[in-house]
Amino acid sequence: MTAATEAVFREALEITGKGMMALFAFMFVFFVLLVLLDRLFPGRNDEAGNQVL
Amino acid sequence: MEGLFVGFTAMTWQNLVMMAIGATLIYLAIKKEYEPALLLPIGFGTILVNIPFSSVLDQVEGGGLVAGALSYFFRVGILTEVFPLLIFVAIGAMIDFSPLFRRPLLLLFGAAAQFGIFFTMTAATLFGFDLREAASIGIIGSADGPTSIYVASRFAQNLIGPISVAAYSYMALVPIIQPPVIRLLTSRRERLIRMDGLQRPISRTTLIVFPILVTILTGMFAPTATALIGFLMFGNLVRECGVLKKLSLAAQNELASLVTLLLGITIASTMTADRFLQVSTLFIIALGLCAFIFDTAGGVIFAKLLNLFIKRKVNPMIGAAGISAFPMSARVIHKMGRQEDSSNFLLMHAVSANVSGQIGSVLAGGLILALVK
Repeated sequence: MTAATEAVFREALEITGKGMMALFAFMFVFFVLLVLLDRLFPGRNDEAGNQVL
Repeated sequence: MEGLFVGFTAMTWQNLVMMAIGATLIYLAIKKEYEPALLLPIGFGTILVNIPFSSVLDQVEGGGLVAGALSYFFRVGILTEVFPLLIFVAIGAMIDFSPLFRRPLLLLFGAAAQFGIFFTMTAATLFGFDLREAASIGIIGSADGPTSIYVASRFAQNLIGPISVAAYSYMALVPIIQPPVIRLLTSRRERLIRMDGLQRPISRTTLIVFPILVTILTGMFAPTATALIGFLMFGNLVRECGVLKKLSLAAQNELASLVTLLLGITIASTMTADRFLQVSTLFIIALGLCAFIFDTAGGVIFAKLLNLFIKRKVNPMIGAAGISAFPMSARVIHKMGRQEDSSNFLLMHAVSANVSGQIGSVLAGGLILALVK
């Protein structure tokens, strides 16, 4: 492996770490959002917009 | 008279190979039904652009540049990112987030199953690709054609052709790619895990507020992802608002069909012999497969890890549905579950993970754009 390739590889590794962490952080925030919204506006069986599976 | 035969005399073996590739894509689209909406236009377009002096591409005539239709479409549809973004509106209008509200934990699989993107990006750097090219190749693992095209149009326009072909081909091959990886990583006991039913109403207000808040939050934290997630969520808002039923249906049907058609044939403008017949194309095809394999592995392994900490166990196969190939991946997981136990009904759980994969893949695209300089 040349020094240039190694430098790019290391940068990619760093981005992988940051990217995966950021992705999980976003999904966790959305998870909290889902739970909060569901608590704030609970669904009712008679609501017209409900989509019951 | 000589002018009539200029096409024959200028034809090269490379043009003929590309035409054969185009014909193969048309065959796969019609005979095997592999993503026909995309592969057929790409296949036909490949034939079009490899006819010598084809008027669909820009040509120099009499010292001046004569614009070709496909080159023009490429400039206004791909370079401006308009086509992929319009597709996101259509996809957003097709997504129902309500299964996710019933088991929000499955949202995390949408992150875990993007591992293949980053793994492949890192692996691609070892084959001599620079970071921007490697990121464009890695994003094939988003299992989401428009995201792949969006990122490649920013980072590696020269690789858009092979990246698109790889992305759409592997999406069609999900039923062949995922099952062996899942079987390799799970025991039969794990594949037999049952999950509770999802029978709970979700309020319309919740479904309306969710896309708006997701857009604002994403935009605040990762502005580069705003266009991607914003157009996706706009389409979803049109669906859920309840007062734009005609527009929602138009987005899901006419808009999706028309833009997909234009996107496919426009992508083909990059499928010229000089660009496509490169060693790098073979690497892209191989690395694309690697991305799908590691996406699947990431989702399954994360589900197994999660099971160490939660009471209501998750069938680890559901993790593999965290990729964006919707609804193909969910169907594959459901079918695998039924093969192990015909009374195990995993479809809606897999759909939830699959929907989270759609958010995850778009976010991953945005993060790649933000992190790769």
